[in-house]
Amino acid sequence: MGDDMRSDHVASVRATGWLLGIGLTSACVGVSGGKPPDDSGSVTTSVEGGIVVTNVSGTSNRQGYLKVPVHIDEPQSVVQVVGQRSGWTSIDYITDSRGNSVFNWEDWSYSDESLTDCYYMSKNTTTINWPVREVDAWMEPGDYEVWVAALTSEGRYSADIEMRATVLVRPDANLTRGTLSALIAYANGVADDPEVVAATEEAAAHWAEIYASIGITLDVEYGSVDIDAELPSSSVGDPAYEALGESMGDRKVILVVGETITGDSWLYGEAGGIPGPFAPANTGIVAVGWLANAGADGRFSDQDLLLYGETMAHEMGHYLGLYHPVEDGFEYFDALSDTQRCTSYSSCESALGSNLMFPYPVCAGRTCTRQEDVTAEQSGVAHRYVGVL
Amino acid sequence: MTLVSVIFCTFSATAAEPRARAALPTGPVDAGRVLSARDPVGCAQLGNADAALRDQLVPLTDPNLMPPWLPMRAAECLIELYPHDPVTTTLAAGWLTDPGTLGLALTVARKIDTFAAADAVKLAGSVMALPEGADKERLRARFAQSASPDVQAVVSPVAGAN
Repeated sequence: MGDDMRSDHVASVRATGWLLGIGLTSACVGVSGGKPPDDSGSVTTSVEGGIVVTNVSGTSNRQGYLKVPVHIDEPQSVVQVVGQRSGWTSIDYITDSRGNSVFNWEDWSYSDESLTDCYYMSKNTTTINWPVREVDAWMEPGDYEVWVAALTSEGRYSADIEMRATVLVRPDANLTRGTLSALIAYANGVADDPEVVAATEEAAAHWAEIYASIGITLDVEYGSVDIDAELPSSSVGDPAYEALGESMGDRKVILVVGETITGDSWLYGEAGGIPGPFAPANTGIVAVGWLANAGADGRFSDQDLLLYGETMAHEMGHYLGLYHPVEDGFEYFDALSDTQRCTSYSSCESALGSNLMFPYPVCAGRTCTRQEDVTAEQSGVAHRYVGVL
Repeated sequence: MTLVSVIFCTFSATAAEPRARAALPTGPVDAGRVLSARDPVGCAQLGNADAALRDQLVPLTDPNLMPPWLPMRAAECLIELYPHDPVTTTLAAGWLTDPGTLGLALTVARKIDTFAAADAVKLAGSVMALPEGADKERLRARFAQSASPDVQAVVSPVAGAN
Protein backbone atom coordinates (compact mmCIF):
# COMPACT_ATOMS: atom_id res chain seq x y z
CA MET A 1 0.00 0.00 0.00
CA GLY A 2 2.81 2.37 0.87
CA ASP A 3 4.45 1.83 -2.52
CA ASP A 4 1.18 2.53 -4.28
CA MET A 5 0.79 5.83 -2.47
CA ARG A 6 4.31 6.92 -3.32
CA SER A 7 3.79 5.94 -6.93
CA ASP A 8 0.69 8.05 -7.18
CA HIS A 9 2.50 11.01 -5.65
CA VAL A 10 5.33 10.74 -8.18
CA ALA A 11 2.83 10.26 -10.98
CA SER A 12 1.07 13.46 -10.03
CA VAL A 13 4.34 15.37 -10.28
CA ARG A 14 4.95 13.85 -13.70
CA ALA A 15 1.48 14.84 -14.85
CA THR A 16 2.15 18.43 -13.89
CA GLY A 17 5.42 18.27 -15.76
CA TRP A 18 3.65 17.20 -18.92
CA LEU A 19 1.39 20.19 -18.68
CA LEU A 20 4.37 22.53 -18.48
CA GLY A 21 5.55 21.31 -21.84
CA ILE A 22 8.38 19.61 -23.61
CA GLY A 23 11.12 21.77 -22.13
CA LEU A 24 10.72 20.32 -18.66
CA THR A 25 10.52 16.81 -20.04
CA SER A 26 13.68 17.30 -22.04
CA ALA A 27 15.43 18.46 -18.90
CA CYS A 28 14.40 15.27 -17.15
CA VAL A 29 15.84 13.24 -20.02
CA GLY A 30 19.09 15.15 -19.85
CA VAL A 31 19.59 14.44 -16.18
CA SER A 32 19.19 10.70 -16.45
CA GLY A 33 20.25 9.79 -19.98
CA GLY A 34 23.06 7.31 -20.53
CA LYS A 35 23.00 5.65 -17.16
CA PRO A 36 24.03 2.01 -16.96
CA PRO A 37 21.37 -0.58 -16.13
CA ASP A 38 19.93 -0.37 -12.66
CA ASP A 39 21.94 -2.46 -10.21
CA SER A 40 18.79 -4.14 -9.01
CA GLY A 41 18.02 -5.54 -12.46
CA SER A 42 19.52 -8.33 -14.54
CA VAL A 43 20.73 -8.56 -18.12
CA THR A 44 21.43 -11.65 -20.25
CA THR A 45 22.51 -11.63 -23.88
CA SER A 46 22.57 -14.23 -26.65
CA VAL A 47 22.82 -14.27 -30.45
CA GLU A 48 20.05 -15.88 -32.46
CA GLY A 49 20.44 -16.08 -36.24
CA GLY A 50 22.03 -12.68 -36.64
CA ILE A 51 19.94 -10.97 -33.98
CA VAL A 52 21.51 -9.98 -30.67
CA VAL A 53 18.88 -10.73 -28.04
CA THR A 54 19.15 -9.19 -24.60
CA ASN A 55 16.73 -9.89 -21.78
CA VAL A 56 16.49 -7.21 -19.15
CA SER A 57 14.57 -7.23 -15.90
CA GLY A 58 14.24 -4.69 -13.14
CA THR A 59 11.84 -2.38 -11.36
CA SER A 60 10.44 0.95 -12.48
CA ASN A 61 12.14 4.05 -11.09
CA ARG A 62 10.49 6.95 -9.26
CA GLN A 63 9.29 8.33 -12.56
CA GLY A 64 7.61 5.03 -13.37
CA TYR A 65 10.11 3.86 -15.99
CA LEU A 66 12.35 0.91 -16.55
CA LYS A 67 15.14 2.42 -18.62
CA VAL A 68 16.21 -0.41 -20.85
CA PRO A 69 19.84 -0.15 -22.01
CA VAL A 70 20.47 -0.77 -25.70
CA HIS A 71 24.00 -1.08 -27.02
CA ILE A 72 24.54 -0.84 -30.76
CA ASP A 73 27.83 -2.17 -32.19
CA GLU A 74 27.14 -2.16 -35.90
CA PRO A 75 26.20 0.82 -38.06
CA GLN A 76 22.77 0.90 -39.67
CA SER A 77 21.16 -1.32 -37.06
CA VAL A 78 17.50 -1.78 -36.30
CA VAL A 79 16.30 -2.43 -32.77
CA GLN A 80 13.12 -3.76 -31.30
CA VAL A 81 12.28 -3.48 -27.63
CA VAL A 82 9.41 -5.46 -26.16
CA GLY A 83 8.43 -4.25 -22.71
CA GLN A 84 6.38 -6.55 -20.53
CA ARG A 85 4.79 -6.41 -17.11
CA SER A 86 1.65 -7.57 -15.39
CA GLY A 87 -0.45 -4.48 -16.00
CA TRP A 88 -0.55 -1.40 -18.20
CA THR A 89 2.55 -0.25 -20.00
CA SER A 90 3.89 1.92 -22.81
CA ILE A 91 7.18 3.01 -24.37
CA ASP A 92 7.62 6.77 -24.25
CA TYR A 93 11.18 7.60 -25.30
CA ILE A 94 14.40 6.44 -26.84
CA THR A 95 17.34 8.57 -25.75
CA ASP A 96 20.97 8.52 -26.83
CA SER A 97 23.99 8.66 -24.55
CA ARG A 98 23.85 12.47 -24.46
CA GLY A 99 20.24 12.38 -23.37
CA ASN A 100 18.87 13.52 -26.72
CA SER A 101 15.53 12.11 -27.75
CA VAL A 102 15.69 9.70 -30.65
CA PHE A 103 11.99 8.97 -30.21
CA ASN A 104 9.66 11.13 -28.12
CA TRP A 105 6.02 10.13 -27.76
CA GLU A 106 4.95 13.76 -27.43
CA ASP A 107 5.99 14.39 -31.03
CA TRP A 108 3.18 12.06 -32.08
CA SER A 109 0.48 12.27 -29.44
CA TYR A 110 -1.36 15.18 -31.06
CA SER A 111 -0.40 14.37 -34.62
CA ASP A 112 -2.87 13.27 -37.27
CA GLU A 113 -0.24 10.77 -38.39
CA SER A 114 0.44 7.37 -36.82
CA LEU A 115 3.98 6.05 -36.46
CA THR A 116 3.85 3.36 -33.78
CA ASP A 117 1.48 1.98 -31.18
CA CYS A 118 4.12 1.85 -28.47
CA TYR A 119 3.07 4.96 -26.59
CA TYR A 120 -0.57 3.95 -26.29
CA MET A 121 -1.37 2.33 -22.98
CA SER A 122 -1.49 -1.39 -23.54
CA LYS A 123 -2.02 -4.32 -21.26
CA ASN A 124 1.05 -6.38 -20.43
CA THR A 125 3.07 -5.81 -23.62
CA THR A 126 4.39 -2.81 -25.56
CA THR A 127 6.67 -2.87 -28.59
CA ILE A 128 8.78 -0.37 -30.50
CA ASN A 129 10.77 -1.16 -33.63
CA TRP A 130 13.25 1.56 -34.54
CA PRO A 131 13.82 3.19 -36.96
CA VAL A 132 10.40 3.04 -38.58
CA ARG A 133 11.10 5.18 -41.66
CA GLU A 134 14.09 6.43 -43.63
CA VAL A 135 13.73 9.91 -42.09
CA ASP A 136 14.00 8.40 -38.61
CA ALA A 137 17.63 7.46 -39.32
CA TRP A 138 19.42 4.28 -38.36
CA MET A 139 20.50 3.34 -34.89
CA GLU A 140 24.24 4.04 -35.17
CA PRO A 141 26.85 2.55 -32.80
CA GLY A 142 26.48 3.77 -29.25
CA ASP A 143 24.44 3.43 -26.11
CA TYR A 144 20.78 4.21 -25.88
CA GLU A 145 17.98 3.87 -23.38
CA VAL A 146 14.42 2.87 -24.11
CA TRP A 147 11.96 4.14 -21.50
CA VAL A 148 9.35 1.53 -20.73
CA ALA A 149 6.59 2.87 -18.49
CA ALA A 150 4.62 1.11 -15.77
CA LEU A 151 1.16 2.65 -15.70
CA THR A 152 -1.97 2.30 -13.65
CA SER A 153 -5.29 1.77 -15.43
CA GLU A 154 -5.84 5.52 -15.02
CA GLY A 155 -2.59 6.31 -16.82
CA ARG A 156 -0.55 7.23 -13.74
CA TYR A 157 3.12 6.28 -13.68
CA SER A 158 3.99 3.69 -11.04
CA ALA A 159 7.29 3.25 -9.21
CA ASP A 160 8.80 -0.01 -7.95
CA ILE A 161 6.95 -2.21 -10.42
CA GLU A 162 8.64 -5.39 -11.62
CA MET A 163 9.17 -5.25 -15.35
CA ARG A 164 11.09 -7.03 -18.06
CA ALA A 165 12.11 -6.26 -21.59
CA THR A 166 13.51 -8.06 -24.59
CA VAL A 167 15.92 -6.11 -26.78
CA LEU A 168 16.55 -7.39 -30.31
CA VAL A 169 19.25 -5.75 -32.41
CA ARG A 170 20.37 -6.56 -35.93
CA PRO A 171 22.48 -4.65 -38.46
CA ASP A 172 20.78 -4.31 -41.82
CA ALA A 173 21.42 -1.80 -44.55
CA ASN A 174 19.56 -3.91 -47.12
CA LEU A 175 16.02 -2.69 -47.58
CA THR A 176 15.38 -4.58 -50.79
CA ARG A 177 15.90 -8.22 -49.79
CA GLY A 178 14.91 -10.13 -46.69
CA THR A 179 13.24 -13.25 -45.36
CA LEU A 180 10.34 -13.43 -42.96
CA SER A 181 9.93 -16.79 -41.25
CA ALA A 182 6.36 -17.48 -40.25
CA LEU A 183 4.50 -20.21 -38.42
CA ILE A 184 0.89 -20.75 -39.48
CA ALA A 185 -0.68 -22.62 -36.58
CA TYR A 186 -4.14 -24.14 -36.71
CA ALA A 187 -6.25 -23.91 -33.56
CA ASN A 188 -8.07 -26.93 -32.19
CA GLY A 189 -10.08 -28.77 -34.81
CA VAL A 190 -9.27 -26.45 -37.71
CA ALA A 191 -6.63 -28.74 -39.18
CA ASP A 192 -9.28 -31.48 -39.35
CA ASP A 193 -11.19 -29.55 -42.02
CA PRO A 194 -9.45 -30.22 -45.35
CA GLU A 195 -11.33 -27.39 -47.06
CA VAL A 196 -10.02 -24.85 -44.58
CA VAL A 197 -6.50 -26.25 -44.70
CA ALA A 198 -6.43 -26.13 -48.51
CA ALA A 199 -7.83 -22.60 -48.52
CA THR A 200 -5.29 -21.44 -45.93
CA GLU A 201 -2.39 -22.88 -47.92
CA GLU A 202 -3.62 -21.22 -51.11
CA ALA A 203 -4.13 -17.91 -49.31
CA ALA A 204 -0.65 -18.13 -47.79
CA ALA A 205 0.77 -18.62 -51.29
CA HIS A 206 -0.95 -15.38 -52.32
CA TRP A 207 0.42 -13.65 -49.21
CA ALA A 208 3.89 -14.86 -50.24
CA GLU A 209 3.41 -13.42 -53.76
CA ILE A 210 2.50 -10.02 -52.35
CA TYR A 211 5.50 -9.94 -50.03
CA ALA A 212 7.81 -11.23 -52.80
CA SER A 213 6.89 -8.13 -54.79
CA ILE A 214 8.74 -6.02 -52.20
CA GLY A 215 11.67 -8.39 -51.83
CA ILE A 216 10.52 -10.24 -48.74
CA THR A 217 10.67 -14.00 -49.03
CA LEU A 218 8.03 -15.62 -46.88
CA ASP A 219 9.23 -18.87 -45.35
CA VAL A 220 6.14 -20.61 -44.00
CA GLU A 221 5.95 -23.58 -41.69
CA TYR A 222 2.62 -25.14 -40.67
CA GLY A 223 1.66 -26.55 -37.32
CA SER A 224 -1.15 -26.90 -34.81
CA VAL A 225 -1.65 -25.31 -31.44
CA ASP A 226 -3.78 -26.27 -28.46
CA ILE A 227 -5.97 -23.16 -28.47
CA ASP A 228 -9.75 -22.99 -28.76
CA ALA A 229 -10.83 -22.29 -32.35
CA GLU A 230 -12.76 -19.29 -31.06
CA LEU A 231 -9.48 -17.42 -30.75
CA PRO A 232 -8.78 -14.97 -27.96
CA SER A 233 -8.23 -11.45 -29.27
CA SER A 234 -4.59 -10.94 -30.21
CA SER A 235 -4.74 -7.22 -29.50
CA VAL A 236 -6.03 -7.86 -25.98
CA GLY A 237 -3.60 -10.75 -25.58
CA ASP A 238 -3.71 -14.19 -24.04
CA PRO A 239 -1.17 -16.29 -22.13
CA ALA A 240 -1.67 -19.10 -24.66
CA TYR A 241 -0.09 -16.94 -27.35
CA GLU A 242 2.97 -16.28 -25.21
CA ALA A 243 3.26 -20.01 -24.49
CA LEU A 244 3.10 -20.72 -28.22
CA GLY A 245 5.94 -18.27 -28.84
CA GLU A 246 8.02 -19.82 -26.09
CA SER A 247 7.47 -23.32 -27.47
CA MET A 248 9.08 -22.54 -30.83
CA GLY A 249 12.69 -23.46 -31.45
CA ASP A 250 13.41 -20.59 -33.83
CA ARG A 251 12.11 -17.07 -33.68
CA LYS A 252 9.28 -16.54 -36.19
CA VAL A 253 6.21 -14.42 -36.60
CA ILE A 254 3.08 -16.42 -35.82
CA LEU A 255 -0.27 -16.46 -37.58
CA VAL A 256 -2.94 -18.50 -35.78
CA VAL A 257 -5.94 -19.69 -37.79
CA GLY A 258 -9.13 -20.21 -35.82
CA GLU A 259 -12.77 -20.39 -36.82
CA THR A 260 -13.51 -16.99 -35.29
CA ILE A 261 -11.85 -14.36 -33.13
CA THR A 262 -13.33 -13.68 -29.70
CA GLY A 263 -16.42 -15.60 -30.69
CA ASP A 264 -17.55 -13.12 -33.32
CA SER A 265 -18.07 -14.24 -36.88
CA TRP A 266 -17.05 -10.92 -38.29
CA LEU A 267 -13.49 -10.39 -37.17
CA TYR A 268 -11.50 -11.86 -40.03
CA GLY A 269 -8.03 -10.98 -38.79
CA GLU A 270 -6.27 -9.06 -36.06
CA ALA A 271 -2.65 -8.11 -35.43
CA GLY A 272 -1.21 -8.19 -31.94
CA GLY A 273 0.28 -4.71 -32.31
CA ILE A 274 1.70 -2.10 -34.69
CA PRO A 275 4.37 -3.29 -34.64
CA GLY A 276 3.95 -6.70 -33.08
CA PRO A 277 6.57 -8.24 -30.81
CA PHE A 278 9.21 -10.52 -32.33
CA ALA A 279 9.40 -12.24 -28.98
CA PRO A 280 7.08 -14.50 -27.01
CA ALA A 281 4.29 -12.28 -25.70
CA ASN A 282 0.60 -12.49 -24.95
CA THR A 283 -0.01 -10.30 -28.01
CA GLY A 284 2.69 -12.01 -30.06
CA ILE A 285 0.58 -13.28 -32.96
CA VAL A 286 -1.67 -12.38 -35.84
CA ALA A 287 -5.07 -14.03 -35.44
CA VAL A 288 -7.18 -15.02 -38.45
CA GLY A 289 -10.75 -16.31 -38.35
CA TRP A 290 -11.39 -18.46 -41.40
CA LEU A 291 -15.20 -18.26 -41.22
CA ALA A 292 -15.39 -14.51 -41.88
CA ASN A 293 -13.06 -14.98 -44.84
CA ALA A 294 -15.21 -17.77 -46.26
CA GLY A 295 -18.30 -15.58 -45.90
CA ALA A 296 -22.02 -16.20 -45.99
CA ASP A 297 -21.85 -19.57 -47.73
CA GLY A 298 -19.09 -20.84 -45.43
CA ARG A 299 -17.03 -21.90 -48.42
CA PHE A 300 -14.08 -20.35 -50.21
CA SER A 301 -14.65 -18.99 -53.72
CA ASP A 302 -11.71 -17.86 -55.85
CA GLN A 303 -12.45 -14.25 -54.83
CA ASP A 304 -12.62 -15.30 -51.16
CA LEU A 305 -9.21 -16.94 -51.48
CA LEU A 306 -7.63 -13.79 -52.90
CA LEU A 307 -9.10 -11.75 -50.06
CA TYR A 308 -8.03 -14.39 -47.51
CA GLY A 309 -4.44 -14.03 -48.76
CA GLU A 310 -4.70 -10.25 -48.62
CA THR A 311 -6.06 -10.60 -45.09
CA MET A 312 -2.91 -12.43 -44.06
CA ALA A 313 -0.64 -9.94 -45.83
CA HIS A 314 -2.57 -6.92 -44.49
CA GLU A 315 -2.67 -8.07 -40.88
CA MET A 316 0.96 -9.14 -40.94
CA GLY A 317 1.64 -5.72 -42.50
CA HIS A 318 0.29 -4.15 -39.33
CA TYR A 319 2.48 -6.53 -37.31
CA LEU A 320 5.53 -5.33 -39.29
CA GLY A 321 4.66 -1.73 -38.45
CA LEU A 322 2.34 -0.51 -41.22
CA TYR A 323 -0.76 1.60 -40.64
CA HIS A 324 -3.67 2.21 -42.95
CA PRO A 325 -2.60 5.04 -45.26
CA VAL A 326 -5.88 6.74 -44.37
CA GLU A 327 -8.38 5.88 -41.68
CA ASP A 328 -12.07 5.80 -42.44
CA GLY A 329 -13.13 9.36 -41.61
CA PHE A 330 -10.21 10.92 -43.52
CA GLU A 331 -8.78 12.61 -40.42
CA TYR A 332 -5.91 10.27 -39.59
CA PHE A 333 -3.12 9.02 -41.82
CA ASP A 334 0.06 7.01 -41.74
CA ALA A 335 3.34 8.90 -41.33
CA LEU A 336 4.64 8.06 -44.79
CA SER A 337 5.15 10.63 -47.53
CA ASP A 338 4.36 8.43 -50.53
CA THR A 339 0.87 7.35 -49.48
CA GLN A 340 -1.35 10.10 -50.74
CA ARG A 341 -3.54 12.08 -48.34
CA CYS A 342 -7.14 12.00 -49.45
CA THR A 343 -10.33 13.41 -48.08
CA SER A 344 -13.28 11.50 -49.51
CA TYR A 345 -14.30 7.94 -50.21
CA SER A 346 -14.02 8.46 -53.96
CA SER A 347 -10.63 10.18 -53.91
CA CYS A 348 -9.23 7.64 -51.41
CA GLU A 349 -10.49 4.66 -53.38
CA SER A 350 -9.07 6.16 -56.54
CA ALA A 351 -5.65 6.96 -55.06
CA LEU A 352 -5.20 4.09 -52.63
CA GLY A 353 -7.87 1.47 -53.36
CA SER A 354 -5.31 -1.03 -54.63
CA ASN A 355 -2.93 -0.53 -51.69
CA LEU A 356 -2.40 -3.50 -49.41
CA MET A 357 -3.01 -1.41 -46.31
CA PHE A 358 -6.16 0.38 -47.49
CA PRO A 359 -8.79 0.04 -44.73
CA TYR A 360 -11.37 -1.86 -46.77
CA PRO A 361 -11.56 -3.81 -50.02
CA VAL A 362 -13.09 -1.92 -52.93
CA CYS A 363 -15.67 -4.27 -54.42
CA ALA A 364 -18.18 -4.08 -57.23
CA GLY A 365 -20.60 -6.97 -57.36
CA ARG A 366 -18.74 -10.23 -56.81
CA THR A 367 -15.34 -8.79 -57.72
CA CYS A 368 -12.97 -6.75 -55.58
CA THR A 369 -9.97 -4.68 -56.64
CA ARG A 370 -6.77 -6.53 -55.86
CA GLN A 371 -5.03 -4.81 -52.95
CA GLU A 372 -1.45 -5.81 -53.53
CA ASP A 373 0.34 -2.50 -54.06
CA VAL A 374 2.98 -1.54 -51.51
CA THR A 375 4.72 1.84 -51.77
CA ALA A 376 8.47 2.25 -51.42
CA GLU A 377 8.14 3.74 -47.95
CA GLN A 378 5.73 1.02 -46.83
CA SER A 379 8.25 -1.52 -48.10
CA GLY A 380 10.98 0.23 -46.13
CA VAL A 381 8.95 0.01 -42.92
CA ALA A 382 8.42 -3.72 -43.42
CA HIS A 383 12.11 -4.32 -44.18
CA ARG A 384 13.12 -2.48 -41.02
CA TYR A 385 11.10 -4.87 -38.86
CA VAL A 386 13.71 -6.69 -36.82
CA GLY A 387 12.33 -10.09 -37.85
CA VAL A 388 12.82 -9.51 -41.59
CA LEU A 389 16.28 -11.00 -41.90
CA MET B 1 -21.44 11.96 -47.51
CA THR B 2 -21.72 9.83 -44.46
CA LEU B 3 -18.76 9.40 -42.20
CA VAL B 4 -17.74 7.35 -39.25
CA SER B 5 -14.63 7.50 -37.21
CA VAL B 6 -12.72 4.31 -36.79
CA ILE B 7 -9.75 6.34 -35.82
CA PHE B 8 -7.14 5.80 -33.25
CA CYS B 9 -7.51 8.66 -30.85
CA THR B 10 -4.62 9.90 -28.78
CA PHE B 11 -4.90 11.39 -25.36
CA SER B 12 -2.39 13.28 -23.30
CA ALA B 13 -0.68 11.45 -20.49
CA THR B 14 -2.14 13.19 -17.51
CA ALA B 15 -3.38 11.50 -14.39
CA ALA B 16 -6.95 12.18 -15.43
CA GLU B 17 -6.69 11.03 -19.02
CA PRO B 18 -5.16 7.66 -19.75
CA ARG B 19 -3.65 7.29 -23.16
CA ALA B 20 -5.74 4.81 -25.02
CA ARG B 21 -7.24 4.00 -28.34
CA ALA B 22 -10.81 4.96 -28.88
CA ALA B 23 -13.22 4.74 -31.77
CA LEU B 24 -15.57 7.66 -31.79
CA PRO B 25 -18.75 7.63 -33.85
CA THR B 26 -19.33 11.06 -35.30
CA GLY B 27 -22.71 10.75 -36.93
CA PRO B 28 -24.87 8.61 -39.16
CA VAL B 29 -22.95 5.86 -40.87
CA ASP B 30 -22.75 4.13 -44.20
CA ALA B 31 -23.10 0.67 -42.71
CA GLY B 32 -21.94 -1.06 -45.88
CA ARG B 33 -18.61 0.75 -45.95
CA VAL B 34 -18.08 0.47 -42.21
CA LEU B 35 -18.79 -3.25 -42.17
CA SER B 36 -16.51 -3.80 -45.16
CA ALA B 37 -13.53 -2.41 -43.26
CA ARG B 38 -10.61 -4.71 -42.73
CA ASP B 39 -10.35 -3.61 -39.09
CA PRO B 40 -13.94 -3.00 -38.05
CA VAL B 41 -15.81 -1.18 -35.34
CA GLY B 42 -18.43 -2.96 -33.24
CA CYS B 43 -22.15 -3.15 -34.00
CA ALA B 44 -22.96 -0.69 -31.22
CA GLN B 45 -20.91 1.96 -32.99
CA LEU B 46 -23.06 1.83 -36.09
CA GLY B 47 -25.48 4.15 -34.31
CA ASN B 48 -28.90 3.95 -32.71
CA ALA B 49 -30.57 0.59 -33.10
CA ASP B 50 -33.58 2.06 -34.86
CA ALA B 51 -35.62 0.91 -37.82
CA ALA B 52 -33.49 2.92 -40.24
CA LEU B 53 -30.32 1.10 -39.27
CA ARG B 54 -32.13 -2.24 -39.37
CA ASP B 55 -33.32 -1.46 -42.88
CA GLN B 56 -29.74 -0.66 -43.88
CA LEU B 57 -28.50 -3.94 -42.46
CA VAL B 58 -31.05 -6.31 -43.96
CA PRO B 59 -29.93 -5.97 -47.61
CA LEU B 60 -26.29 -6.17 -46.50
CA THR B 61 -26.88 -9.78 -45.44
CA ASP B 62 -27.18 -10.73 -49.12
CA PRO B 63 -24.81 -13.70 -49.43
CA ASN B 64 -23.64 -12.49 -52.81
CA LEU B 65 -22.13 -9.28 -51.48
CA MET B 66 -18.39 -8.78 -51.25
CA PRO B 67 -16.15 -8.72 -49.28
CA PRO B 68 -17.23 -12.02 -47.75
CA TRP B 69 -17.24 -10.67 -44.22
CA LEU B 70 -19.77 -7.94 -45.09
CA PRO B 71 -22.90 -10.14 -44.98
CA MET B 72 -21.46 -11.96 -41.98
CA ARG B 73 -21.02 -8.74 -40.04
CA ALA B 74 -24.41 -7.41 -41.13
CA ALA B 75 -26.04 -10.63 -39.91
CA GLU B 76 -24.18 -10.48 -36.63
CA CYS B 77 -25.26 -6.87 -36.07
CA LEU B 78 -28.88 -7.65 -36.92
CA ILE B 79 -28.87 -10.44 -34.35
CA GLU B 80 -27.03 -8.37 -31.76
CA LEU B 81 -29.08 -5.20 -32.16
CA TYR B 82 -32.49 -6.61 -33.13
CA PRO B 83 -32.73 -10.10 -31.60
CA HIS B 84 -36.47 -9.87 -30.94
CA ASP B 85 -37.42 -8.31 -34.26
CA PRO B 86 -39.46 -10.67 -36.45
CA VAL B 87 -37.38 -9.49 -39.41
CA THR B 88 -34.29 -10.96 -37.77
CA THR B 89 -35.84 -14.26 -36.74
CA THR B 90 -37.36 -14.76 -40.18
CA LEU B 91 -34.02 -14.17 -41.87
CA ALA B 92 -32.24 -16.40 -39.36
CA ALA B 93 -34.67 -19.25 -39.99
CA GLY B 94 -34.00 -18.98 -43.71
CA TRP B 95 -30.22 -19.02 -43.29
CA LEU B 96 -30.41 -22.15 -41.15
CA THR B 97 -32.16 -24.18 -43.80
CA ASP B 98 -30.51 -22.78 -46.95
CA PRO B 99 -27.53 -24.95 -47.97
CA GLY B 100 -25.94 -21.85 -49.57
CA THR B 101 -25.73 -19.87 -46.32
CA LEU B 102 -23.76 -22.09 -43.99
CA GLY B 103 -21.64 -19.16 -42.84
CA LEU B 104 -24.69 -17.13 -41.87
CA ALA B 105 -26.23 -20.20 -40.24
CA LEU B 106 -23.13 -20.65 -38.11
CA THR B 107 -23.44 -17.01 -37.09
CA VAL B 108 -27.00 -17.68 -35.93
CA ALA B 109 -25.86 -20.75 -34.03
CA ARG B 110 -23.07 -18.83 -32.36
CA LYS B 111 -25.44 -16.06 -31.28
CA ILE B 112 -28.42 -18.27 -30.43
CA ASP B 113 -28.53 -17.17 -26.80
CA THR B 114 -29.19 -13.61 -27.95
CA PHE B 115 -32.65 -14.58 -29.23
CA ALA B 116 -35.78 -14.89 -27.11
CA ALA B 117 -35.90 -18.33 -25.48
CA ALA B 118 -38.81 -19.61 -27.54
CA ASP B 119 -37.31 -18.34 -30.80
CA ALA B 120 -33.97 -19.92 -29.93
CA VAL B 121 -35.51 -23.35 -29.42
CA LYS B 122 -37.47 -23.05 -32.65
CA LEU B 123 -34.41 -21.96 -34.65
CA ALA B 124 -32.23 -24.70 -33.22
CA GLY B 125 -34.90 -27.28 -33.86
CA SER B 126 -35.06 -26.39 -37.54
CA VAL B 127 -31.52 -27.67 -37.99
CA MET B 128 -32.55 -31.17 -36.99
CA ALA B 129 -34.71 -31.34 -40.11
CA LEU B 130 -31.71 -30.82 -42.38
CA PRO B 131 -30.33 -33.76 -44.35
CA GLU B 132 -27.58 -35.64 -42.55
CA GLY B 133 -24.08 -34.42 -43.37
CA ALA B 134 -21.12 -32.35 -42.30
CA ASP B 135 -22.99 -29.04 -42.38
CA LYS B 136 -25.78 -30.30 -40.16
CA GLU B 137 -23.28 -31.80 -37.74
CA ARG B 138 -21.31 -28.55 -37.58
CA LEU B 139 -24.44 -26.55 -36.85
CA ARG B 140 -25.69 -29.07 -34.33
CA ALA B 141 -22.38 -28.95 -32.49
CA ARG B 142 -22.56 -25.15 -32.39
CA PHE B 143 -26.10 -25.13 -31.01
CA ALA B 144 -25.04 -27.68 -28.41
CA GLN B 145 -22.68 -25.04 -26.96
CA SER B 146 -25.66 -22.83 -26.08
CA ALA B 147 -26.07 -21.86 -22.45
CA SER B 148 -29.74 -22.78 -22.69
CA PRO B 149 -30.61 -26.36 -21.63
CA ASP B 150 -33.67 -26.16 -23.86
CA VAL B 151 -31.57 -25.42 -26.93
CA GLN B 152 -29.07 -28.11 -25.97
CA ALA B 153 -31.87 -30.61 -25.61
CA VAL B 154 -33.46 -29.90 -28.97
CA VAL B 155 -30.20 -30.53 -30.86
CA SER B 156 -29.09 -33.55 -28.86
CA PRO B 157 -28.68 -36.77 -30.87
CA VAL B 158 -31.52 -38.28 -28.85
CA ALA B 159 -33.83 -35.47 -29.90
CA GLY B 160 -32.77 -36.00 -33.48
CA ALA B 161 -33.53 -39.72 -33.25
CA ASN B 162 -37.00 -38.90 -32.05
